[in-house]
Amino acid sequence: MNKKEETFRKIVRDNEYRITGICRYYSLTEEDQKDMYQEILINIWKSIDSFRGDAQLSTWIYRVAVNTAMGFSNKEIRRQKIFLEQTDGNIQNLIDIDENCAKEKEKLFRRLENQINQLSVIDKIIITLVLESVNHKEIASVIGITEPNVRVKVHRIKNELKEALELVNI
Amino acid sequence: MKKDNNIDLDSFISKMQKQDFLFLGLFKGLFIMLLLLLVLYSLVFVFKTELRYQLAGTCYVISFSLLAYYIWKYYMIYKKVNYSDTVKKVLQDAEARYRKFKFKRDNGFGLILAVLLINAATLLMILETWNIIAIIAISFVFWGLMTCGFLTGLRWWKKDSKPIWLAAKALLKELEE
Repeated sequence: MNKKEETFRKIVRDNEYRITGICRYYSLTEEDQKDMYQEILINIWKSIDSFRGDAQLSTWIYRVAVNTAMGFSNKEIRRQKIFLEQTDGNIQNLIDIDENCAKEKEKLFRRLENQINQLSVIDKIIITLVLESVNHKEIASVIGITEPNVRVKVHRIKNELKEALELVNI
Repeated sequence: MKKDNNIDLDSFISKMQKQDFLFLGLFKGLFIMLLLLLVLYSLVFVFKTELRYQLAGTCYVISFSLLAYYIWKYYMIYKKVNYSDTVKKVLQDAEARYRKFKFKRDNGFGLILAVLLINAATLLMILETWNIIAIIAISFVFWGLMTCGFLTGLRWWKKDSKPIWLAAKALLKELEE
């Protein structure tokens, strides 16, 4: 096994949950998630020589994953859609959900997913990273904007989502 | 709430990756072809004793060298595409790769010189005596073909590259908001 292959295997092994985390949001079926996972691995392999350690490895992985996910499409997925899973505990990173009310939770969940899919492409990327519990500093490094800018964007998106959900409730 | 309906942003990078792959192969093929022509013309004209053939050969060799330089430059731009850069950098690079050719910014002078040299070399090769009508006729056909090539390229750019360029610009604008 050469050095590149060894590094590649280590990177993939250590960051598997990050890659699958991003795949989950952009692909509905297990098959699509596998396809996207493979596409991300191909791009990691292609870019591995350019990793110089000026960014954290996790940031670098998120960059490749997000850049790949942005363009992921096949016959079933015609539009870039975000898919949320009800078991996803990280939803609390976005809005407060009453855990006791299961029926309401399910409705709110679907509405939230629908509202997220109304967002622009960049906002969708930011939201997926927020859902993955990536901190603002790292999101800034993935996107290439400043940390305060990320904070403003996240605040605005959260407010927009809250407003939209309240309007739907009325 | 912002929507993506004004521009087709769907599968933006997917399209871009396909285009990049296509252009990378295209520029590589063209570069190899030009190198082969360069070697071939250099060899052929070295053995020609007549002055006009030697001049024509020199013109071809210079123009092919110039074209090879341009093709190499573009090949390297596509080869250096890196999807591990920040989203902003990926978009900035895409915007630069797919924008329309601009004469001053993209050193169009060298390209015009290369085409003029090919025109001159073709005239030197075909014509045994200087006949103004023949020169005009051959040049007319030559520049007609060049114009067709230019218009085909422009149409191709409008169909395939312009949507990617516009999408990259729109996403960059969104990032700066």
